Formats: sequence, structure tokens, C-alpha cells
Amino acid sequence: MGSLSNVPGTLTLRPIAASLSNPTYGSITTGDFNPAFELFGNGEQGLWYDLNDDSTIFQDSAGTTLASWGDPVGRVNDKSGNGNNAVQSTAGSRPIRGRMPKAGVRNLLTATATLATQNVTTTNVQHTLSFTGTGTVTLSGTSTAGPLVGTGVNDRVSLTFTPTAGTLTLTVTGSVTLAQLQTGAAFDAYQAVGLTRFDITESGQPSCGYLSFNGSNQWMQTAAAVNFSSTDEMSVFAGVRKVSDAAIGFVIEHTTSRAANNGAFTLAHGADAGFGYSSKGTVSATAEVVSGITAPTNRVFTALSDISADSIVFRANGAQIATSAGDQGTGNYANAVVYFGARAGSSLFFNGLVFSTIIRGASTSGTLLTRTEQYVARQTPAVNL
Amino acid sequence: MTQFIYQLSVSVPESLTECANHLAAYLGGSEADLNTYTNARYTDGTTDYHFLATVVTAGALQKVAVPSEPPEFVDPLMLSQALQSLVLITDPESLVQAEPDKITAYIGVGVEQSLSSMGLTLKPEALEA
Repeated sequence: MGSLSNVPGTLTLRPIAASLSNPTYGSITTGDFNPAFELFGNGEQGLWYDLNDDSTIFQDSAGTTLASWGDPVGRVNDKSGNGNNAVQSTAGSRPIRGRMPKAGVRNLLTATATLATQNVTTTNVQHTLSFTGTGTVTLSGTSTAGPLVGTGVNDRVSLTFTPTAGTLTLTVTGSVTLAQLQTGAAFDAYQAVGLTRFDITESGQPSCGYLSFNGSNQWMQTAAAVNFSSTDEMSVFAGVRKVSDAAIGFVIEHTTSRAANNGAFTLAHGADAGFGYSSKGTVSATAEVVSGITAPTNRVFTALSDISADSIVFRANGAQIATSAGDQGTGNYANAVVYFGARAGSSLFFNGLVFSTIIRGASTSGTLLTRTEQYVARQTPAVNL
Repeated sequence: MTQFIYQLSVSVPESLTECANHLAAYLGGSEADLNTYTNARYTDGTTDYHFLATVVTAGALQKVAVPSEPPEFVDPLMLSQALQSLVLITDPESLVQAEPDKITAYIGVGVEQSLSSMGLTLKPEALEA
């Protein structure tokens, strides 16, 4: 075996916990921030789901078939090193894996590489249809503008119109390729939409992977209880898109019900334009806002709680939005299952997307807090920290 | 590339829970799918219903159109009852309401429109203390 000093190139390995305050990273696998080292390097209990890591997301709960964009997800492996994988063994209850550009979604169409006749829901604002190819798109329903006739495989033609609210039908004849329908008076960079709207990409834009929960019956849970019984401090990070304000939605809940169990926490929103976090030792306290987070909208939420200190700090996009000094009672967090997308898989279903989830059974502050929020923001469309 | 390109919405009256779970296990291919319908959270004002929305493959739809040999954990009689009770709507222009003796399924219809067209609303849920 030769000396590493003789190996060409540079390989810098991240030191283990000893120098967490001044870490360096290998450029091979860790990038500029690796939660496994930064947040869990000292053996902290918790979990980290990386929804952009293809190798950790599966269609089935056994983890045998990888999930692609648009597939139901039966398992997400925990990358924290704690083995707290999320699973859903019932096929009909699985959330859907998707991706969208970091800058957000503009294209309202589906299967845009070669467009077929389809219906789109429109609002009463200016829209622009554009495509390449030699075919024709004829509009009906909420608009009869056009038709838009293609002029060549390398030419992009466009039509700006203002439909009424409702269903717009685009009837396609001939070859209509790289089609885009967006709001506004111009066409921006083309966004490719796959066979379903769970697969949207844009050249030059990073893609953000997510799990889509439909607010009706989709949820996951850790395969086994997560043992937080040695700590009364918790840090929860989540990149979230809230799709609806109409009903209460539980993004994360530790235990089958915080109302019924001690040592629990919940990240959820009410039937309003708010969001909040609750923590309970033997008494429940909540830090929340009830306005200002109107669906549809994306946020990076951070919740920091401490049972014995009776403290909750709730942050959105890197800024504190609510606190609580209410009594949380006593004790540590429980050794219990964590649920995602609903309360115990049976009620209060979340309608939205989750881009990133990190739960750490420890306090998080200072530079580490900032860098973790920045990391989650990089996974969350339209949030830049 | 995903093969799960069909949106599927299903309502099941509470009285058909058991056979609907055998249908779910037949389609899902796992014994765990016998627990698909566990909580009838929706109502048409008279009858309580389960509601499920997911994505499925063409192969799953084919298994409904042309039934094949079910796996051993699926009761053939229950599956048969479910298939006889199934109303499968593939034309979004021809949606029908949920019925207390039918399993109603739509293809290609979103969650909110499915619930609305089926005539179902969420029963009041117990809120956390």
C-alpha cells in the first residue's frame, strides 16, 4: 500500500466531531454543507431526508425499486446515520415524488416535448402560448384567440391572450414541440413538463425534488420509533410548499398525537393563512402565526424548542416569526414514531409539497443554524437565503 | 420514466370497506394494502365514505378491465364483490356521484374536483387539544 501523499490530486476529508467549529469538507461527496456531519456528527438522534438523492427514495417500503419523478414513494432512507427511514407500506397512501425548477414553475401544460390536445385551468389574466414546430394550436373554452400556427422546427411562435377563468382547451394538430403556456405578456425560458406535472425541469436551473402530499390520504411514518428520550431540546427544519389554507394540515408530528402523548412536537398549519409549531413535555405550548402565509407559498421553516426552558422559537425563511414562553411541563421527548403528512396517518392531512426534512434532537444555533437554513433553502424553490 | 401516469380517485362507502381493501390489495400486490381503507372520513350527508387519491399505471387499470389471478392474500369472493360494485369513470365529462352501494372511481380527475363531483365533504375532525 502506497502513501496517500503520492496520490495525485487533492482529497480533503471532513474531520469527525473533534473540529466541528471549523470544519473542512471533501469536494467529492459533501459539497459545502453536509447535514450528516454538521448536524449529526456528534451522535445526535434524528433524521435527514434528502429528496434530491435518487439512491435513497423508493417506490416500495422494502426499498427494492427506486422511485422516479411521478412515482408513489414507499420509502425514503434517512441520511443522518440514525437509520430512521420513512416508509409507507400501503400503496394507495404513498405520497408522490416530484421535481420542479429552483426558480419555480411557469409552464401550465403537460407533456410539452410533443404536445397533445389537453385542457388547462386558466385565470382571468394575460397568458402567452409559445411553441416550436410546424403544427397548429387552436384554443376553445375560456379563449378563442388564435389559432397559433407554427413556422418551423427551430422557430418559436407565440400568442398572447387573456382568457376568462375556467377551462381552456388546446387542440393540437401537426407537430407542436417544446410548448409553453404561462401567465404574462411574454414567453420566458422553456420549462419541460413530463408525462405528469410531477416532472418539471428548466435548462440552467437546479431542480428541487419533493414529496407531494394530497391533503386527503397520503402520508408516511418512520419505520420504527425515534428515540428522543435523552433530550428535551429539538430542532426541526423543513422546506415546504403549502398548497391550501382550507383545512388543518400536519406536516410533521412526533407520536400518534401530541394531544394524547407527552414528549411530542408538531409542525402544522391551521385552516388559515398561518403556520406553527407545538412542543410538549407534559404540557403543550405553541408558537404560531395565523396570517401572512397564504397558500400557495413556499417557506423554509425552522422550529427550535426546549421543554425545560419553556422555549419555542419559530422561524420562516431565516427570520423569527413567532415565539412561545408557555409552560411545556417536564421531561424529555418521547421514544416514538414520527409521522409525515398527517396525524398518525388518519386525520389532518397536509396538502402540499415537502422539499427537505431535518429533525435533530438537540439545540441548533449561531452559524450552524444559519447554514442549515441556507441548506434547506437551496432545496426549496423560490426561497433564497 | 414514470409509468404512474393515471390519476385515480376512489370513494368507498363504509359498508364496502372489507371488499374494497381486497381490491386494493389485488391492485397494489401487497398484503399491506389490505389496510388501505381504515377511516371513513368523508360523508355525503347520509353515508360515510373512504376516499383515496393516488396515481396508477396502465397495468393496474388493465387488471380491473381484465381480472387476473389474485395473490393468495386476496379473498376471491371479496374481490369479486368489489369489482361488481365498482363504477369506473374514465370520461371527466361524465362524472357521477358516490352511491352508498357502489365503489366509485374516476380516472384523470384531481382531488378537489373528485370530492366535489362525488358529493363528498370531510366530516368534522377532532382537533388537537
